[in-house]
Amino acid sequence: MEFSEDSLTWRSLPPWADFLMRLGYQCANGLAVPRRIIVVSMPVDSPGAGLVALGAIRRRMEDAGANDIEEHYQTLVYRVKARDSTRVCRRGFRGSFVLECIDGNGDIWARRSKPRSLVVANSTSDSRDMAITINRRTASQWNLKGEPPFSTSVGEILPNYGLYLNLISGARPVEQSNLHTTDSTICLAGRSMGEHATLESLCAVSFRHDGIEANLSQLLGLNSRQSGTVSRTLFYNSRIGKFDRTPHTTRFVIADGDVPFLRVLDNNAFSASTVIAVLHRTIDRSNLEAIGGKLADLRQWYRPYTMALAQVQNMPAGLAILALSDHAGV
Amino acid sequence: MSISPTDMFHFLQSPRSYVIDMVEVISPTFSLLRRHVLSIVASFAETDESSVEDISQCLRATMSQLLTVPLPFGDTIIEALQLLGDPNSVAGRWGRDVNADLVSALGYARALRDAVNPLRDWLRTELEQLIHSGISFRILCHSRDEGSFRTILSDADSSHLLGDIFIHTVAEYRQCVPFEVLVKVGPLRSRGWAKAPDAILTAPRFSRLIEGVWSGCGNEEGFGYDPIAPARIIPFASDKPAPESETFSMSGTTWEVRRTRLFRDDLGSISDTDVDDLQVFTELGKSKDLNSAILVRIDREHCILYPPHSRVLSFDPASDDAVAYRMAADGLIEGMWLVLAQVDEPVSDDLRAGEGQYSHVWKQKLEQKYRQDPTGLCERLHFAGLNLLHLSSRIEHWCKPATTVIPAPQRMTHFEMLIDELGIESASENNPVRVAHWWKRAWNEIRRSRGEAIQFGFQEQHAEDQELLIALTSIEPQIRDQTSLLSAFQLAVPSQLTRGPHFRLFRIELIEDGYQVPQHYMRMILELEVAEQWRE
Repeated sequence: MEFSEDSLTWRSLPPWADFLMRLGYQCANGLAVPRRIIVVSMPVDSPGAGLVALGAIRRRMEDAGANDIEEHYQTLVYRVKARDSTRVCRRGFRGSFVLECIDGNGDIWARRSKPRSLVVANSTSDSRDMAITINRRTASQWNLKGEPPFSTSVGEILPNYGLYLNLISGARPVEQSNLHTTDSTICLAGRSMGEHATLESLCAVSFRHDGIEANLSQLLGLNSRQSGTVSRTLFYNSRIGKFDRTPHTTRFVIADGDVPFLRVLDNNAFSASTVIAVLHRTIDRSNLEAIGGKLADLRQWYRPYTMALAQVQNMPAGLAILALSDHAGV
Repeated sequence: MSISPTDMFHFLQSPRSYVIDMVEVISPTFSLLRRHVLSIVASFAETDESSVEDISQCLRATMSQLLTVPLPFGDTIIEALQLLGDPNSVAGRWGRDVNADLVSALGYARALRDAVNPLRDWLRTELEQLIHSGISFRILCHSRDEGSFRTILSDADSSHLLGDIFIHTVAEYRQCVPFEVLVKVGPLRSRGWAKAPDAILTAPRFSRLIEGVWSGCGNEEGFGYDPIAPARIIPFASDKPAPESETFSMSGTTWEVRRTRLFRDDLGSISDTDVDDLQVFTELGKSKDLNSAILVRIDREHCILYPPHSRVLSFDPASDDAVAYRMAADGLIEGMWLVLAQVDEPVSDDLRAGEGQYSHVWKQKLEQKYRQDPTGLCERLHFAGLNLLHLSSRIEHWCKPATTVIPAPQRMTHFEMLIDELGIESASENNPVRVAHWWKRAWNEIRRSRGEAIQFGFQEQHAEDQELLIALTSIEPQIRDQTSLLSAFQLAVPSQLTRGPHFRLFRIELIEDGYQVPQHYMRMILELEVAEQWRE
């Protein structure tokens, strides 16, 4: 596996990048419980959070059925009940449909254009005024308007299978079906400077193997709205406090910097998520003290955690880690 | 160009030793001067006379600067001490102790006036060695202090001190590629006059730190803070006896500290240990109705100070909710825009404050009088109570035309004294109604240029806040157009909306904490030079 930080100079995967990906991979191994807070302190600004996220989604890709299908269907049902005029899209149909109601069979009705009459259409027709049903089985063919494609029924397969396969030596194979569906279990909380700054940092790092080349943003599937591919990483814009799609069961969040770390800890959407923060130490004292203060608070409820770290060998000099767990000795 | 993470880790992993060469400069005369000035400042801290605060602030800032910047001794401290007035009247006003301290301090300050500053002398030798040996080095200092380093060297050598050799902020340090030596004057402190990034110890991009400090002003305990590492105390902190050499580890890096004492026996030895003036000044400053503030720099010369938890009207081009009130301490970041609203009076199309009828008149008169008799004008103003340091250069500054603000005295009382001395009001006898408030009108013009907030009651202020938000949002597209082109600009809202406010927008260049500021200087455009005096 080759690695580049400027898309021009290629070298073998450096130890620091390998370490961070393995950290994400190991920590994503036991996503359920207990919640953990892990802070990685770096001596330099880096796309380290993206590398941890990549390791985590790589581990998630090994599990069969690692996707949002059930949560996605539940979201559609919730939106209908909330009567918030949510719009959905599907490949093969022009325009968007409004979620309207749920009938006696539990099917969701989606309608395009103005409601003159409800006309049940088959799924291949494309009349201007039509309504269509969505059920648990077909929900994955629909995605919410403005959000990344939920599955390859709507969008494109996540490319770069060969890169995922060889990213971490000794890792188990990737379950290929996962490249066909969107998953929101792993979340990247972007930089406080915003989405553009985060993507710029991630795009600077590229991987190459057997002629396949992709940057970190592509591997995380963060530009899926533009590229039309499914996405394996939920993005949280910590500058404005918004997700790039409806968050379902985010169990693992990686914060890119000190401010995102604090905002993640204060956000109820992440109250049960394991959090890994990748910070660099070249920041103002007040920012360092804000982190120190938050960690002091957390230490009242969490205890030092060492097990996962013991499995991750060869920590580079200059890098430091603090890990807390809400269960002693786990 | 910044360093890549791989190169940084490579730098840290290669075997090397990290050294702090700490030189403690001892000058008995300067120590005695420090002691007497400190005594005066401490005495002033115990009075409730508001007029001494300016003098005390000036003394603290002058001494703090001498302790952290390689300046020649010169006249600065003498001028600061002379703000107290005639020594004969000092005893009657503040007591015999203050008078005795003043007389002694003036004596030592005059003895030092033409003496070589040993810290500068030592620094010259170090810099010359670095330059001539071809070692890569950088200098950590405040942006305003670059000149003090350049004047130490000959013209040929100072040409080596190009702009990028200086590091002023943690952001600039972050961008540094590794080098060999970092030079710093003053102790390692997290805040205030000697402020330095903790990262110089926890994430070093160099292997040797050369540090020159005055006796008694040691490094801060706890400097090199890393929130995830156990607390460490670096050796050679204030008032701590220490061996000549010691090692300590910090964030995986082992440092060796080597201490040298540079003794200049200019007026005989002294027996007492010097106190940490910087620390004492900080504590005295806190006790004088000063409030914590963060400094937001809007251009090379101007800034605005905000209470850390105040809500600031701002514009963030990267946000969906671009127009919002954001918390000063953690809501504002570099690259956002500050918005100053002016509700009651339209201003010129140009962002510059504009030469209104008032400033035009008094500046012309001031320049005329200053040209005629600069010394006499300074003396008369000083006698009238305008007791500012470097009054002559300040008058020259006030004569300048408006830029971002109208250059003028910072305080209303000082401005009133100035106008009174210029005799503008008495010259306008034909219109007694206007004359009565001439200086107030002129002062309001200055205040507007500084963007001072208009005062309302709490409920009215809240309603006003909402009105401003609505008005600003209505011109968001125009704002976005301008932000991509300019670093500061001004826009008006169509008159049918609210009261037709005008907005001045400034791109945030830098945010810096560590200021202790009187409340009435918050939320207005200030010259950086003015704000500097309130560094902790």
